[in-house]
Amino acid sequence: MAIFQPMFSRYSYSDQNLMLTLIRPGVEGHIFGTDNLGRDLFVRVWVGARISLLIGITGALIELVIGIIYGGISGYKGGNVDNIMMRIVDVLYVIPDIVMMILLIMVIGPGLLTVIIVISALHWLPMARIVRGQILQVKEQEFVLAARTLGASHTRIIARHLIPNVIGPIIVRLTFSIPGAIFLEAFLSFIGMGVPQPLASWGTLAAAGQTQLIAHPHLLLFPSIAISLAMLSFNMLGDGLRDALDPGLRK
Amino acid sequence: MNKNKKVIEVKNLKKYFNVGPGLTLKAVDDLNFYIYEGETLGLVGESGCGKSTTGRTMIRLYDATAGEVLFEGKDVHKMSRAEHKDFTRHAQMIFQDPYASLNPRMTVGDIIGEGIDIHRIMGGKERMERIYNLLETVGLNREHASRFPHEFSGGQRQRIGIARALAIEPKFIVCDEPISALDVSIQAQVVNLLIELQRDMKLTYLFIAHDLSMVKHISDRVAVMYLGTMVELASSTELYDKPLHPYTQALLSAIPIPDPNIERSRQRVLLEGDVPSPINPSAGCRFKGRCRYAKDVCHQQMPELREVGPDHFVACHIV
Repeated sequence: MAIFQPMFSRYSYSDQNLMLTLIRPGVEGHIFGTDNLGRDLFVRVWVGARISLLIGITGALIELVIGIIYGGISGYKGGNVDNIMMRIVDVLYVIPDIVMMILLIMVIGPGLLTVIIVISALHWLPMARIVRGQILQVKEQEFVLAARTLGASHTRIIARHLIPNVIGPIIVRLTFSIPGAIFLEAFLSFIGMGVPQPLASWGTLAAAGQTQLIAHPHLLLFPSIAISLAMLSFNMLGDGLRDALDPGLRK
Repeated sequence: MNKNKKVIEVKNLKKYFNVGPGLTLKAVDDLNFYIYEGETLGLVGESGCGKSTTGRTMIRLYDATAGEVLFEGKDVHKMSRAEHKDFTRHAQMIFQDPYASLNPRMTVGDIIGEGIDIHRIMGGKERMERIYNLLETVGLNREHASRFPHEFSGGQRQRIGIARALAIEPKFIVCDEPISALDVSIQAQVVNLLIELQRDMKLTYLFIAHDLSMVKHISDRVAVMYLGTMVELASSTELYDKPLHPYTQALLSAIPIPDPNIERSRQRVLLEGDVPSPINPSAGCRFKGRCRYAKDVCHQQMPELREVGPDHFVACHIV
């Protein structure tokens, strides 16, 4: 829907019709109504879905890759390597999120790419910690020792014994971080550092709707429903994935 | 048992762990022993005395702090990568906890076949055939190959662990308390399986345990460890009939006798206090604090392991 709907609609996401501003949902073919510039909200919600999902999913993927590599090395190597790598994470952690965001945006300049970079820059830290903690826990288990006794290489141990056994909590974390990324993007847009107009994301739509909450609640209602539904689906997807990957729960 | 060939020989083996600034945990301190081909050497001692560390250091799961482990004349800790990989084909380990020693994400067939895959011994149909054979050898069915470990009981899991160790036809197996996590009713089955396999495949075992009666049943010789050092080493009949070291005597007197009359009237050697910490141990005999025969010399000098009878070694100043 997010991909195809905007292509077929009568209205484009940026078409303005100043005669038909702020109409109620369902009137004049505008399923969700229009906003204060007469733009069709139904189309804008779906365009917003494109942006939000793009940000959420790419942000999460980048976070996953960096987090697994960084946390994995730290946990698997252990000792001093682990100490140094985790102190770096700690130092980055104490920088307040908002300072980090503003700094990054000042350096790179606002835009879609920047938002993705900011989100991954913030989210890989807890991911790296989770991966490290999991790896530390699993690598001392006897089946890893057994693989070493059999002469398994590091690559084999990591790929066949460690990753499959730490993937559960990582997936769970990931399903939380996709909605988290969508929210963060909404927040960035809200303080004027997100995607530029007239592009829409769920965050900007909700932010715009919030200003007219009392007179025209539908402007906030529809983007919020979209965000909630997306979060719910990602959580359920994560649950399903975790169960599917765990032979103990598979029947 | 072939008394002319020593499969593995441990010389002055030490394994220390750094547990903090200036704190050294001497888990294994100056061990010397060897195992003949086809022999079972039992290694007993209470928890934390360094039994498992010894076993793990011998197959290079840990790097030794000092000393040598000679496998067929070659030092395990000085092997090159290729040599070490070859070594892993000949020396295997059976682990203590059957619930932690099998990867829950792999099928039983893949777990057993892992060694075959790593060493590229065989592939395809041949490999599966070998896995089925191994499963039957250890008393499971071939249908079990496609299942996951969580579907099995503790005893069955331990059998899978044994099959995994056997898959690459090793010569030497370290059995690290393979039965202590199992039900008593299953223990005998697993021990008998190990004995059978040893006979059929000419295996050499290092059998680590704290159950003395089981050790007597399976071992040719028994070594007793206390706080990282070896206190007594003798053939199992000799050790059980004529224990010389006060610690061995105390250990053996802890075995209950299945006759209530004798059990009630017999004198037990009770040890006072707890095992002292292996971190920065003081000079002298490790056992001195709990030994009722301790003399001055015990506080100053560490007793050496010396031969007091034919193939009977003791480390004690009093004996």
